Amino acid sequence: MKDALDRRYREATERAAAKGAGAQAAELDSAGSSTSAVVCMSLSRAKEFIGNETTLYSTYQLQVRSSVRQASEPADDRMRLSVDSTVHGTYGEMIRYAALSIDGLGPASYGEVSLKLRDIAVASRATVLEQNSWSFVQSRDLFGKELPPGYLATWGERNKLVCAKLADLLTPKTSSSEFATLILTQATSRSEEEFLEVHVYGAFNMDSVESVSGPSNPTKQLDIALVAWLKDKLDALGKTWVGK
Amino acid sequence: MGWEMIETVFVSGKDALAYFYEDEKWYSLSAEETIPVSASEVRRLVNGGGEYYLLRGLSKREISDALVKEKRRADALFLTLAVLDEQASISTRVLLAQQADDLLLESSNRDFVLKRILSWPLPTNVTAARHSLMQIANTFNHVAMVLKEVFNFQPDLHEVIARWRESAEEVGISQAGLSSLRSELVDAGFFRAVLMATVERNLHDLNSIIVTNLLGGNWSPQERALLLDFQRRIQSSMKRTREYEKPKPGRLFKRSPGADQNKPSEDPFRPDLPSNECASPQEARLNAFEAKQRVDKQINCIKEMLFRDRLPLAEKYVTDLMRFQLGRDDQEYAVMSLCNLTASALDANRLGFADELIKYAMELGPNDIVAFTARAEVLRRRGKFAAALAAFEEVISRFPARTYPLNGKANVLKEIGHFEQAAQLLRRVQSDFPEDSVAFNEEVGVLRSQGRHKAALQLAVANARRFPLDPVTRSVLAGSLSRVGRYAEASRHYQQALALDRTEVRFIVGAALNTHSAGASERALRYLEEFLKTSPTEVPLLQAKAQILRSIGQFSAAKGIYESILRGFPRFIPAVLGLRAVAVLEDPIVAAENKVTHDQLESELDWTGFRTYAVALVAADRPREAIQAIEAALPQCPWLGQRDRLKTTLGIAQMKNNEPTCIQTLQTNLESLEDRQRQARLLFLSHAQIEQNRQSIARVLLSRMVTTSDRGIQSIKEHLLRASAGKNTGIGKVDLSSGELELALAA
Repeated sequence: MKDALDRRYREATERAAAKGAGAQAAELDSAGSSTSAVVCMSLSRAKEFIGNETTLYSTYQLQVRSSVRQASEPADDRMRLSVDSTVHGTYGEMIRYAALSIDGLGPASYGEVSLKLRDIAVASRATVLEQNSWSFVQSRDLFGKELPPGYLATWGERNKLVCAKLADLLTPKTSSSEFATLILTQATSRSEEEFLEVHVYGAFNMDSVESVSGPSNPTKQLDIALVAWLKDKLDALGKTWVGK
Repeated sequence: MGWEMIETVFVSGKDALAYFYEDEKWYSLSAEETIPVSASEVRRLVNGGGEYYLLRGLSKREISDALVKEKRRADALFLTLAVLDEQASISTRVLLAQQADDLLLESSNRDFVLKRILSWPLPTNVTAARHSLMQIANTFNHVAMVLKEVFNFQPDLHEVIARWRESAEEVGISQAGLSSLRSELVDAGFFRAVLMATVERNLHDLNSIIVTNLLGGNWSPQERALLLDFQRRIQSSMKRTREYEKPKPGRLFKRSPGADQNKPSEDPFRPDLPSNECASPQEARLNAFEAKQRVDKQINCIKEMLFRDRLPLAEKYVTDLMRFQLGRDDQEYAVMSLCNLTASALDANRLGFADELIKYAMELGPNDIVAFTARAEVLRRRGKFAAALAAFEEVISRFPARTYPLNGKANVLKEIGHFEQAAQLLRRVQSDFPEDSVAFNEEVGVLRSQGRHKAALQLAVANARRFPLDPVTRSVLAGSLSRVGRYAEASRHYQQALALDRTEVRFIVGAALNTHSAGASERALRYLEEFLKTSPTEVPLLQAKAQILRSIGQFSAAKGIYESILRGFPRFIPAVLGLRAVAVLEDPIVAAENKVTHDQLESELDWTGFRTYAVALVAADRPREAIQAIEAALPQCPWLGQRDRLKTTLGIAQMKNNEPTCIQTLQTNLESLEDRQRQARLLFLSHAQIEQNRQSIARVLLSRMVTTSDRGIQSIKEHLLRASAGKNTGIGKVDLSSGELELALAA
């Protein structure tokens, strides 16, 4: 797996260099190393997660099934379970999903509040997949099959995966300010969003969060109050609020 | 096709999302859009703590409506809780309260919020900040309404949840099972409903809540057992609490001219006066000294009415007093008066009345530590230990540098048998306030409660060395010596305590009772007489004298003293109980007719009254009834010391009823009893052994273990030793001598 990633990385940077974008590839490589894992949630969710220091960001399967006793088991749920088991095998339920981001902003379709995780909180327990696992498995028809090598990186080698995926898009004119969009492309619908997916093993809470990004000028009265409260909470927790 | 019914819908106000299943696909519905989603996403979110409700058979329009409704409810809850959040700045809280107020305008939202918040007690730091919170909330009517209810019911909520925890422990349900059950019950508004029934003391409502929930849920046998046990515990605590019946409007209020006569006041004592209005121009002209004299006179009058059992007059005078003090803008002094009267109401065993007085004092003096500490003490005296603990913690959180609430909390911990925690807390106080003797002396009390009398004595000696000039410390040492039978030394220390403070009547009483315990009853009586010459109406001295007379069989003289006390103060409970005890000894058949049920017992004195009744039943040859009454009462008794005494009475009743189990009962907890109680138990145990034809065991117990020089006990001991030697003493028919009955009443 590692050899395959190294090969993809090397070939992609060579191709970039060949078309005169070697310096950009080197910058992207460096930028890839400073990316963070970001989870997104709605303002409603954020107030729950940030408001309660003991709340764990957990896989939903593992959380206490206290709310609905008669939760159904839909037939097509097998599909998602297949994706999880294809990528992670038996420990799929232990995985928390995040997106790789340079600027601390995650895919907006998952919620307007982005939580940037501290590097130290994920470094030893995260891997990065080239794409959203659902799309990755589905588009390649990988159900029940092994993942192709070279598309999954450890946290320490995420820069290689970033280059392997994106170096071909670089041109001599590409500026480093464009990297954020290249690494995570926002879109109006979830299916059009493009990002590298981070898989974090195990739960985390607010202690693992470095900063939070959210709407700086909400228009609804309720959201104004919520954001004011979130800022106070983060302040009390010693975390940064970044308005966007 | 908006009219088509959708069978499975999950709605969460918390997540502001609904998921529904249609044409074999899942969709997510938010305020903005409806999008198809994977089933796994649905499952993740639905099980993810978003509190999704399963709804069935809704059209899309109805799903939309349900989502809006749920979101408004969830927002109302969140915003109300956020207003309570101490980490939020004042300006943020104002913003939050403003939003909350809009949502709480809807009664269904208010109901939802109260259902949730009144399902678990608020943290101490929140209740401690209630006054500053209410200042913000008061600008927003509906928020203020909700928070006032939340804060007002906290003490009762602490009690309800304490009972819930006890039931959970009793049934032994797993943590996960408990969490799941609780979650469902919170959703159903169960705890708030139980709380309301408790506050209103409405047994019918309580039973109907339990039955409805039992029928409505698919409960496991363990869950059902928990609910039923909870019902039983709440029922008995409800029966125990005697609420103060507030006077009817118009009966007791003297309304000021111009006050709305039709508007019932929420507070029985609050005069309907503007805060700066005097009752009369003459009152306004009184100088400070004259005002104080008048207040003192009014307070004494109210106290007298409390002890004379003339509650309506006491209420009227309190109203007058408040009108006078508040009319003069003496709010601070009004709080002091109310605290003072609360103490008297407690002494008169008017617990509900005391509670009302102190609640009003807290309202008038939101930053008055004495009022808040006194409220916690009232809760303790009512046996509401969970609420008392929370109340003390609240005071500690607000006034961390004061010793009273810390010592008070330790006292509650002692009452509920958390001796180690109590001792640790007291040691902390000792370290922080090394010059204050109270915590040092309280620790002696903790050791005594544990039955560690030798350790208590050692500590009392050390304390006396540390505070050689403190009379209370000296009297604590004297008490500790007396408890282990070292009467002569105890006497010396009582005298030293008296030399340090000649005005403290408790030392005189302690010295007299110690002398009596040492077997010198006549000397003890003479000693008391000396003091009574100069203070003939000093009630504690009269009580002590009557107690000694009673124990040496001079019932008429004792009765005369009790009656003379009660002529002046018909509500002085120790005298009432003393008189009942004499009645038990003189005419038990009549005394046993004055039935006392355990349902309405709160204070320790209440329980003493119940025990007296149980002894009367035994003496009246109705031991089976005594056993039934005690067995029903024992689990309901919150006072650990009283439980030990009740067990002694139970053992005696079982012995009288020829039940061999009496031996086991009388041996229960024997080693941890204080000396006089243990000696009494040993006597009854010896008697029980004789009744079971185990004379040799009885002789060993009597000769080796009953070692006190207390004349009453010695006399019974000799009587029993003769019986164990086979001499004809009437033993065998389980007759209890009057000495034994007296001991049963006192021990």
